[in-house]
Amino acid sequence: MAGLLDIANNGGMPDEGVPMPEGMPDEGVPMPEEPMPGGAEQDLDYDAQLQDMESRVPGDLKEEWDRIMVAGMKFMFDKQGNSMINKALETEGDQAKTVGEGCARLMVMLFKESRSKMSQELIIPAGIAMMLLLVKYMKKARFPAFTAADLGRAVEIYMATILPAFGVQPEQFDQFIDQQAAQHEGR
Amino acid sequence: MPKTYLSVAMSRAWGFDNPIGDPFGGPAYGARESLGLVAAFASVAAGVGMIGTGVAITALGGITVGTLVGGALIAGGVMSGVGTLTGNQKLVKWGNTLSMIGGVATLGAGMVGGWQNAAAAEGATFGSKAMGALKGAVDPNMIKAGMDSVGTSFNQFTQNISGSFNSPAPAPAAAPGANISSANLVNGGPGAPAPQAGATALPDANKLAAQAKAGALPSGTITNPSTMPAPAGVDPSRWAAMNESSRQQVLVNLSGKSNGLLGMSPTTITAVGMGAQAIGSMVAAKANEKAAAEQARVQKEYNDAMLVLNERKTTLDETVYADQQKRLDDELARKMEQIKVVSTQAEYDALSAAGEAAVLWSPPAPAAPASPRVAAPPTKWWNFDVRGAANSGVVGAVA
Repeated sequence: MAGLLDIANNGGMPDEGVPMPEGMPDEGVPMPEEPMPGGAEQDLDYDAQLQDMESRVPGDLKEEWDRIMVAGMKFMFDKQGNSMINKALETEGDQAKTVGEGCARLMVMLFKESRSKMSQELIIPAGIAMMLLLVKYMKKARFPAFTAADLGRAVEIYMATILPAFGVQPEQFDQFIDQQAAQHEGR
Repeated sequence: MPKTYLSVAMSRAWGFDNPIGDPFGGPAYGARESLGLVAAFASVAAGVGMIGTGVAITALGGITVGTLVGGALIAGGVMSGVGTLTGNQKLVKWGNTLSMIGGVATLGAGMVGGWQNAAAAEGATFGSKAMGALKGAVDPNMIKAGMDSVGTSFNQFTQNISGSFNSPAPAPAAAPGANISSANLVNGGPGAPAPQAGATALPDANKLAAQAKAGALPSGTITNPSTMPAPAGVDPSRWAAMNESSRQQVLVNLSGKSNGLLGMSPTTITAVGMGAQAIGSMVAAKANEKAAAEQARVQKEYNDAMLVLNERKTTLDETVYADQQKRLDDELARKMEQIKVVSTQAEYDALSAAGEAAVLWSPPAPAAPASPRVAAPPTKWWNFDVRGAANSGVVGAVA
């Protein structure tokens, strides 16, 4: 899976080359140097987050995780789909909603395409991983400013969209979190 | 990067068991519908309805939704990180709680030591540190155990609050080694599962204290739980190390929670209790050291693999691909040299009459044909692709 991250580093084109050796400048569009809108807003280390998430994937789900990521990235970054994704991202409107709901749809479609064989454990984390990859790509490709706050909202929207699709109401999830938090705080 | 391509028949055969993508190359699973999918992604108007049409909610709801929620443990750290960075309190709460559940659930499964629980608690307390909470429990098998636990817990929760799901929640499985949970040991937690057959049961701290008060505390009561077999998928050596860590933590907990026990128990127990903190720290440090070494080893393997790949790519670029490109260029140049480019109809006709290949660059306007007329060569077919006078270039190769 680390290779997939490198694909993302490589301009998002899965078929392009091999990751550059450490210390080499990243090819492709440079990261924006200007500060993000909103002043001194700190950006997220997407690679670290993705690697952190990957490290938590149980061994028996690792291969499936890789497959999901490959399939998702192909949809997002191959020549056929990328232009349409770009168009969607360039459209005026709530970018967080586009990204959050888009990734939720992506995961549902992949689940459907897998004939429901995809492990449900991976739906939430894989969708968030896709989102991180997409936002990283947006940063590199200098899409209209997508702030870290937008990412936070996108994750929230993603959860609010993906949970009902699988029969869980967001309120149920919130209550569950509240209950667990109270329970564990009481320990 | 070299690729392995599967035949159509093989791809279909693989597709039955591995419906998502061909890992070796080719289109990812569902690529044939990629336009529809991308359109779905792109269309904000599609809304949730698009998802609703894709998945039958009633078929999914309540059956394994706990698994879905359990999977959120994997993303807990990221949620927490994003939430902390952006000040999104909801995400911080989700992330912290999920991280905390992860830490405690894995502890409940008896697979991590108390020091990891402490790390989880620390992460839960300090928002930005929540990501570090699971670092001690980074073994994915432990995460899996936590996910299962949360899934079961969520299913029970949903049953309790609404009873809306048709299928009954699965009975909570007795977690392997749950009898060594520090929660059960120290608090005598209700619902603590019965010890597994063959496992070494550890005593309740309260009972120990009571026994101690009664002067009935036997020596050597605290036994080593590492006699329990490692669960499937867990490295036995790590299992043993963690059990040892748990044992030490239990001693720490006992010494901290039961002063009476310390005062009245045999000297050996007191000594062990007093030294347990130091031992626990040492074990934790050792385990951390081991984890760091393992991480370094994996990183090195990855780096080595990347180096090999890069070397192979460079070799290909410099030899095979470069050579192929050069041969193609030479061939094209050779073919091009054979073609006479003329600008007048008279020259073209003359060359044609002589049986030579020629291209008329500036055909007489306006009745000129769209494609260049080529004098038929005596032995071969010649195909040209000329991009009009404006571009003035032959871009096609000669077949």
